[in-house]
Amino acid sequence: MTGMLVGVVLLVTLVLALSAALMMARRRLVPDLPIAVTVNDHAPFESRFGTDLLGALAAHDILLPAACGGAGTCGQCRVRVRGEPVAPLPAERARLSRAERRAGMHLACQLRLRVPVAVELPESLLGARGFDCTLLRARFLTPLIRELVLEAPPDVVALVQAGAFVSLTAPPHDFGFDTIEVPERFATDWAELRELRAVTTAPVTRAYSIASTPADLAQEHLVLLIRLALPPPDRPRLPPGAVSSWLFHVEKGTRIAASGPHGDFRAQAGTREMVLVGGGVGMAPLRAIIHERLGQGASQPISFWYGARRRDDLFHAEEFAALARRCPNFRFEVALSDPRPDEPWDGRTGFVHAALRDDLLRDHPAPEACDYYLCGPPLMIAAVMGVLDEAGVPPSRIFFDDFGS
Amino acid sequence: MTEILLAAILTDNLALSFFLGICTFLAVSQRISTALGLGLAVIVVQGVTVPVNALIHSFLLAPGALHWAGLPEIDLSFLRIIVFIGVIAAMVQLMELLLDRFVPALHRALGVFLPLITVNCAILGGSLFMVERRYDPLEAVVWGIGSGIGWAIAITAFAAIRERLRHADMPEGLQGLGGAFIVTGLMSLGFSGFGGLVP
Repeated sequence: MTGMLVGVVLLVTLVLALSAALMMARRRLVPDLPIAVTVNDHAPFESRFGTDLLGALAAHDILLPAACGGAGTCGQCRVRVRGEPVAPLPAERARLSRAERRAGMHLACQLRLRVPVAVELPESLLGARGFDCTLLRARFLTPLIRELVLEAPPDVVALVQAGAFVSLTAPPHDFGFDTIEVPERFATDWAELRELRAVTTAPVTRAYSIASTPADLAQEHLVLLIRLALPPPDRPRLPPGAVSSWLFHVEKGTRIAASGPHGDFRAQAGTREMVLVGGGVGMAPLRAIIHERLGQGASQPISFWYGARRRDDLFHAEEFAALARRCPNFRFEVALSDPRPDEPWDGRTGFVHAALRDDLLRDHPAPEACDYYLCGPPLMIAAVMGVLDEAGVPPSRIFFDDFGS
Repeated sequence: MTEILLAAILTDNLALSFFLGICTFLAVSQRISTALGLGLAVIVVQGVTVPVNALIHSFLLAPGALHWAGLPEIDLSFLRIIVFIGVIAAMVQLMELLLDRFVPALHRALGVFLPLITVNCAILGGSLFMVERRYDPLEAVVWGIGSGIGWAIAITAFAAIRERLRHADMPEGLQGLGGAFIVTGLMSLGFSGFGGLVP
């Protein structure tokens, strides 16, 4: 009996002593101190010791793009740290080139605040902020792509440049795909999706490129193209994409939490020929860029190469065809990789990179003198990069946005 | 003392003679720098936990240890494992705080393997061997630090070999862990050559 009692008392005392020692160590090592953060030449603001820079900036309404949510894998939250060089962490070494590291570039998500820090950011990012927008209209463009028209605050829209993206946050939700309203013509495509369920217990954020034309922006409309992210065919048990599912489910008038505009995918200045290559919802930023440039009266040749699987997956084709008829310097080319035998299609078939190679690059006098803008699924981007490399295009002339997959 | 130190480092090497702590041994041995960092962390954790556990054992848990409190008949040695693990867990957390504060690069590089030292069998094994071999607290200090050094030497040497082997033309099936196991076995054979060193 005494033995048991002594044992229990001993164990409890030991655990308490160990916990107390740990808590004291924590207080000494992770002090709750204010740390000053200076952005560009603005007045410094205060954050707490030990927070990461990305979070500290976000708390101050400076929202850096971070598609991975701060895990150090997307490499987008780049900042330049002024003053004393800080040793880069492994995640930074993987994402930043040697020249960038030498210039003091860091990933904001990896930088923990221990001493006052001064960072440099593009001024355009400082404008990005969180805002609420309202869903005005939504329609299905293809079985798995939905176009959303959002009404955003005027000061946000004023910052939008063609090629930018916004991040949308879906609140926690739980619904079955059988509650999604699908137009009659796509009912057969949806028959087997009806059993899926979208469930999340925490808010989830994803980035979507803005497809607005200048006319849309004038009405303060952000047009987004949402592709429903389905589980890959070989792993059907995975859940469907949280945010895209929710965006297929939302109804007119819903308020959606967003932040932006972000991103540095832009039409380059100058009069070099522009070649844009897109696939799927990768059309979004390219559409914005094409309309912006043609609207500004650009005179250089501009060609848009778009790849889809079949006739059903092709959208806005009429819009671009009309644009091509109106503007002699604009050319619109479509390649269908997998057209159905019963579909009327007399256009090009095969992959878009093959079309680009055979019908543009092969006979082009100077492929290296054009600017290339790519946005689409990773496989398409890789194939197009390969074709461009063969044609002798230097990587510095290729711009791509790898969200739109 | 010297015998204990030499035994701890060479003949009774925790990694290569007893195959303890092999999961971290295999997982964090891609680069010498990280392996060395983890090795140092193990030396410190081992150097602290084994003496602390030795004190706890000889003054609280061993049969008759409580006779200073007037309870000579009580034997709490069955609490050994739970107490030792508690001490190890606290020390590892302390280690984590220290590394995060002063060597953040190493902290990130070790990642989840640092908290996993808590359940690293080499660490608990160090403390249990200490009890089994009836070391006194002073000998326990030597044994603790020595076994830490032994494990650190083993993982650093192993990482060095793996760094060289990365560019070797190995059959596809042996690349990665397959080759690593063979190398571990060969190193262990090599360490068994120290067998007669300590009487």
